[in-house]
Amino acid sequence: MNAALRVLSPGLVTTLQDLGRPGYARLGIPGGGALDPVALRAANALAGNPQDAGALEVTYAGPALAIDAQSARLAFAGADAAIEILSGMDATCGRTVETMRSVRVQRGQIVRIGPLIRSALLYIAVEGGFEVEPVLGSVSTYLRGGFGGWQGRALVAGDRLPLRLDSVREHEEQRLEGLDLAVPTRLRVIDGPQIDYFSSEEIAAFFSSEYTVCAADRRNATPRPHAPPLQEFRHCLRRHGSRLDPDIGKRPADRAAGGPADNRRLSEDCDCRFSGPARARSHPDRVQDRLRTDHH
Amino acid sequence: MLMSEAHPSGLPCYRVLPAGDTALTIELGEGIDRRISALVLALTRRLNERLLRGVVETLPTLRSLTVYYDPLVLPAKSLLAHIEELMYGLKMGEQTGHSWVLPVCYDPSLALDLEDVAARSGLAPGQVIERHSGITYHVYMLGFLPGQAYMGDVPAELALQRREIPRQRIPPGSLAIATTMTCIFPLETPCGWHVIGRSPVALWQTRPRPHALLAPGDEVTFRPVSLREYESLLARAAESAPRVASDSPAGAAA
Repeated sequence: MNAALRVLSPGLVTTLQDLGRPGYARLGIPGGGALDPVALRAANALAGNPQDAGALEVTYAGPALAIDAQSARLAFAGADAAIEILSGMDATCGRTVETMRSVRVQRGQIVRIGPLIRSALLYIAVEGGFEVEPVLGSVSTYLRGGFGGWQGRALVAGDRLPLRLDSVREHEEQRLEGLDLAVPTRLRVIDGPQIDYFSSEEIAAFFSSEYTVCAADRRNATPRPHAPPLQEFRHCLRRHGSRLDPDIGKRPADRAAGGPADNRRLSEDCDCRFSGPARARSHPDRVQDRLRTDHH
Repeated sequence: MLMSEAHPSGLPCYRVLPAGDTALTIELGEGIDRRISALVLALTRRLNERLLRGVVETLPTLRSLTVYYDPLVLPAKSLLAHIEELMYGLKMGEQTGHSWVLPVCYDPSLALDLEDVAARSGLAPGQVIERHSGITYHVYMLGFLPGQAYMGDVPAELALQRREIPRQRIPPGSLAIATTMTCIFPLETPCGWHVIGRSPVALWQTRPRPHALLAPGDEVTFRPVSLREYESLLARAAESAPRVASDSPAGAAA
């Protein structure tokens, strides 16, 4: 039998994602990809994969997966979660492992992941990766378009995701230390192109308010009967004095000091993991630096 | 923001606006206007022709061009210098497109809002169809869904604000109007526009190469077809090869 991860239960929404398929916006095809690209890259680093390999993106509640391979190495990064390795279908409890580490599992074992804690997203990378053909250069699932990833959809019970490797070498497992992937409580913001639509009072109000994430099933055309008037949404982005181009990419501190524009600083310093721009460049190489061999 | 006044030497008036830390928006005017669109498309072509390393993608929109770039390869300052050079002598009509005739069925069974649009615009349903299919549209931009083209300009008497309550979903191929724009929505989607018909035309594909049927700068007219012709065209489209497939024609390897 070909090596695979067999889906016993899919979790809430579990999709295959990589770093996305940029370059097709002019056709109306979104870049997509992992919502938390740093966590995706961390999971791949732990599994010994290239950072842009496809991995499972788990949302809120995790799946249960059976190992249909001689052996496999899984790595978990992102949210905290109760992850159990069960010896088989009949087992009721098993060994517990933490996120931010890799683990070697054997044929017949079951990996069961509970609700996610501290973040909505957890990534499961598999050493060698999934044997899935890319669409437009990416294995990311585009749910609305119904393509990419695993059959263009979220996983369902009974799916068998083919693996590239039927067995993996035994070696010390990897852990990641000191990389906090919890949702930051402070999000960094850059002036948007319509910043001049807003008064300085509105902008000041935006930056002095606290926000709560609301429940919304979709972002497009969804009626929001309880939504506050538009005025309250219009506090969008802060004005950093002049928006002349030499300031693009500077950190606020550099702007104040009149220091040189340095786009790299912004990227390295950026903790907006949900924004597209940070996707490609945030935390360059840091993930690799933090890998530690696990001596358990 | 970088403001530039109209210049006797032929430098058009434009603004450069940052859109995040890896994109710049070059705005060439206000409002929905074919002359502005023509400048946007001309600039897009000029920039694409330079094949600059570090330009990830160019995205023409109604009145602006957004350039996605990698600031570690191409600093914003260098990109801006290129754009300023390209602006000199920029003129309309540098970029011309194809002309298309697209079949559209305005049958009431598919045109969810035709009656409503007729009532709101004080026309008979037949007159709505006549007005909508009686002119040539300009493709301003693609976006929102794969292959979705924003086309204008809908005749003034049909220019309506969006529905107060958007629909949770409309079927793929829905032809809809809102303000001066008309679109065929290629996928099922939530939508606040007024649906006045449906088109059987496949608007996008990923193989053999990623492609959208319509491109900014194209011209489109709609040909009203009967429900029967719509259904036969739809069946014919479904018979042809799948429009979405993986990059390797062999499919998933064992």
